[in-house]
Amino acid sequence: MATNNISLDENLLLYIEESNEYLTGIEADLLKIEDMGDIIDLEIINRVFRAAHTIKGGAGFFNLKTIKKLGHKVENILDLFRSKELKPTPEIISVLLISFDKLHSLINNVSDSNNEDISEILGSLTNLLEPQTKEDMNKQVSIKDSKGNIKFNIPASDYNQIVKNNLFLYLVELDIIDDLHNKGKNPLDLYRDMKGTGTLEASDYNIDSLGTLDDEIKAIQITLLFSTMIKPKKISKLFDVDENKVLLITEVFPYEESILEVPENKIKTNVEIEKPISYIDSGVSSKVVEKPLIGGSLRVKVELLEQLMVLAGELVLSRNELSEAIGSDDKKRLVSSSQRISSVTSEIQEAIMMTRLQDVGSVFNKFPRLVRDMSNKLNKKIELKIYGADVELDKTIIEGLNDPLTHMIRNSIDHGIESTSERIQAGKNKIGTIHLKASHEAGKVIIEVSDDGKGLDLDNIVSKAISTGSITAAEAENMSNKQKSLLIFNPGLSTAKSVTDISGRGVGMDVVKRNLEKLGGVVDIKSIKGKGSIFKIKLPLTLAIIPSLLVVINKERFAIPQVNIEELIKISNAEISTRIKKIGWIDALDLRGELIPLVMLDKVLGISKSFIDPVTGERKNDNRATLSDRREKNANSNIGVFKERSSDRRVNSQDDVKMVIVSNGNFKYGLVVEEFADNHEIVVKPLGRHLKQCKEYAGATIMGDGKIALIIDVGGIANILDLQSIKGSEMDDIDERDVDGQFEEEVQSYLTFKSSEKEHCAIPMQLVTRVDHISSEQLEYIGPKRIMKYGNRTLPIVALQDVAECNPIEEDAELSVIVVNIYGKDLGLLAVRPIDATNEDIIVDTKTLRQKGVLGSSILNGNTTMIVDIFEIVELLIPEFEDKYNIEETEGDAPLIFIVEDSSFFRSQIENFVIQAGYRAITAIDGMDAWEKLQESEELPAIIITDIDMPNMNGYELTRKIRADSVFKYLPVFAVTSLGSDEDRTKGIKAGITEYHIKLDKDSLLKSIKKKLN
Amino acid sequence: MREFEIISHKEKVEILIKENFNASLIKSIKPKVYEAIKDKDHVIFNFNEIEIIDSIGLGFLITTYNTLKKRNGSIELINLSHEMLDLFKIINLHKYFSLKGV
Repeated sequence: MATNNISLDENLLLYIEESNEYLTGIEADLLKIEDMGDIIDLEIINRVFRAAHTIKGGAGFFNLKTIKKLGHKVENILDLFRSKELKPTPEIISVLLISFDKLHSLINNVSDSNNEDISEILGSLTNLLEPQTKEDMNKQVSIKDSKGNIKFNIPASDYNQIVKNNLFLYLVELDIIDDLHNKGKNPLDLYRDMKGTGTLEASDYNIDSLGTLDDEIKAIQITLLFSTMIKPKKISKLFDVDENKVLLITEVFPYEESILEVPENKIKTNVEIEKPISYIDSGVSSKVVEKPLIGGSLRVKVELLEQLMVLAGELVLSRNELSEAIGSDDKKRLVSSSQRISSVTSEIQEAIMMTRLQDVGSVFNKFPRLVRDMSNKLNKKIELKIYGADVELDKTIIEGLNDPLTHMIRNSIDHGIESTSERIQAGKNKIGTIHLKASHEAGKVIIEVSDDGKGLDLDNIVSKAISTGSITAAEAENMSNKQKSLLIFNPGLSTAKSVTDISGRGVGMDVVKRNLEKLGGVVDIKSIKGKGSIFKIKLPLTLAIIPSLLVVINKERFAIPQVNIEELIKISNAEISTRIKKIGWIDALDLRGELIPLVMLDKVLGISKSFIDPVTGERKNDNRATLSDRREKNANSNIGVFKERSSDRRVNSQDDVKMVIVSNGNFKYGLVVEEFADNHEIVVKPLGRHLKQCKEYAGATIMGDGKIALIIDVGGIANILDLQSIKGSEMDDIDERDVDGQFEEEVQSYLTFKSSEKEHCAIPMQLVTRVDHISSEQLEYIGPKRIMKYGNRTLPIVALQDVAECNPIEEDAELSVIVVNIYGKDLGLLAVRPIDATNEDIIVDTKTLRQKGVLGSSILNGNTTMIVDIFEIVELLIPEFEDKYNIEETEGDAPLIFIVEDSSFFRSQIENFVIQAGYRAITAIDGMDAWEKLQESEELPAIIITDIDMPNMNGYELTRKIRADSVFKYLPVFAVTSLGSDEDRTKGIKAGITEYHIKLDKDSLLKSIKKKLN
Repeated sequence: MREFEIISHKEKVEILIKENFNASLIKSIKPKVYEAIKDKDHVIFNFNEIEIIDSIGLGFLITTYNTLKKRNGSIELINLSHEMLDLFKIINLHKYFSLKGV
């Protein structure tokens, strides 16, 4: 067929392209191998091996015999390097170099390659192999059945390959009539099952035993030698035969799901440490970008493929189970197999999605060159620092990122970073820095482009915007700085004085924004004049499937992408009058002091809202127009949204107002919906051409029941309604530290308050569940204890003054209660307002102000602040509050706990409570330090508690090292982290972390330690 | 329409299969083939890209082969679908039969 030819040609071209890509780096690698002589650097050898292997594999596929032959020989030799059976001498390397040269010329002349004579090269390659290995090649391994009869002889090399790949080898005796036909299966089913889950190494049957056409066929006995990843306890399911018919020949890899068993070779392929790749524009690069660029093809990690194979096997097994269940009409088994299929399906889906993920480094690595060339041209000195090049994103997104990022980096170079002389004048480092950083955040990928240049010139932007007519001067008056900076995303706005060929044509940022939105991303700016700018792009991991919240309006479901959702809020009938305000003609929600415009989703979409009549139970249309105005008839209906209310007062749970606070990155608004439904991973289907005008929708999805749910376009609705953020933005007062580009530090959130008029206090935010303003009358005293009614519970209230020597709270002070959750229970800490939150990486002085209830002090927001130790306060005031963890007195030493944490504050905190609980503790300041100490230590710790985010070597890396070590590999590793997202957990589990704990959750950490040690 | 067609040539018999090569087909084809190959040593099964074969079908091919082998005859399978060709190869049938794909 014609189409077949085209696709073949395309594939062949791809193959050639890829092979050439592989070959480019080979020469240098081979020379490096030669240089190193006896020292075998597996990474380099593997790289060369992979090249040869890939080329060979492709050649086999396209029937390029000569290339395949040569590739195979080369691969053999490299394999011997790997196994240290052959030393890479200069002679061997020369032959290999010639071989790769030949491969190169063969590949670039594919059509004639089969006619080329390569016997000479093959000869010299074979000679290299001769002394040691010729014997090996012809060696055979005998496979015996359970009675000891030799069934098959297979080449030893094949057998070793099976062993090496950690596969199981089974000898299966099968009767095609009895085991297949009588069970309603046909040989092709079995063939497909085997093909999907492993390799049939050999098969045998006695053809004569069947007799001739005169005989009745009673049995067709066949013996199969099958290599697969399927585990012994499941294999008989695949063939659907008795267990005694399947004989395991090898059990080389006791593969268990336990994370401790992850073989070494799998660990290596994981993520590397975030290392900035530096490139200074001095013309000569000091550090070369090491990773090769990734080209157009899609590369999938081997371990992922293995995972897919295992899953495919699981699926086959589950299907067999299902058909058995159907056959036996066993409802219970039907249910269980359907559950299994559904779990396997979602795992497969996840794994397939993972194959689409690629390192963002493939885009990032193009930029050092861009920065170098452009900065030379503009005569600026600029350093580009790249972080998180190993963060993975969907292939489509990666491809789409190139243009926007190029624009943004160009802008940073051209508009952002000042000329050297300007920088010196401003007292800045004469080398400007651009940071390009990718990171994960709550299931999304954040890409930041920041520079320490002059920042956005807001006045200039505004005057330009006014002159182009996109805003009026009056509008400009009312705009916050944030809104002003967002103007650069308007079309036709360029503030560059002269239009250069680099940027400044006014088609940059609006295109950038549009392109990023196409990728499902949102972009945000922070900028400080004179300090620099940060562009922050938030992207979904993948495009095809997005997690969404389903909401219901009048029985119709709509999906709101989670990427846009900030929070869900339900306001009870009673609270409506206080929480929802009417401003002009729209409703606004008072959300922690910020006014958020509310949009009635039903109104925007033109659906009549419904409610269930509490008396009749019928669903009726709801004619109410706005939320704030719940009682009075509304008189001034200037735009027709207000309708006269009917007389029914629906006071029931239906009257709660449910809203989704959504954000498109720039500002928030609330979408009022009728009901929240489930969270779903939805598959996005684009809307047809005739629905393109519906800007309210981003697409549609088909639900499990076959019905359609439209996907809400949060940005689209805002545009239709011409919404603008009522409050400027929380980002007006931006954190200068961000701009300075200090990304490496771990930032901790603190809630700051006062214990009296003059004394500042702080408590780690993680402990805080909420804050309530109270008046002193609400406090009750029972005996020496202070309590407060809290909902329908009694909340014990403590204050710093109860234990520490500090000024008492003044009588007229504005009080708040900070509700903290420790030991699984709520507790109130009395505080004097103002209460604020701050993100700072602080150094805690644990000496000067240390006293009961106070850990130490630090400077926060310019004030000397006491860091409150709520655990100590509780221990002193309400000792019964704490569950006891202290270990029983044991003979000998208490178990040794190894604490790895870079922040001295947290380190001493954890150390303290571990020691208090009766353990011994040793500490390390980062992964590297920990690793060294582990190796030097004479005593093996019982448990390692490690932070994740640390300099030099992070917690993942440390765990991987531990898991790969023969001595330490079984040590339990607990991670304490503030990174609580599911991805982080998955990443941690992959690295081999035993348990996850949230930082400072003393309660659960101690419980787990105790459990583990028992 | 017939499920198969037997075309006798001078030296050989060509059997054109039009339906799935399974037990029900074998039931009706077996006596016909038995008759047809009595005086012919070379049998061609034209599979016509049929996608399905069951165990009985497989057994039938082998017994046919065994029958012919006694007379030094041969068997040839042509127009096999990709999958079938692959199946026959991995179970080593190509040692006995001549196999041709589409």
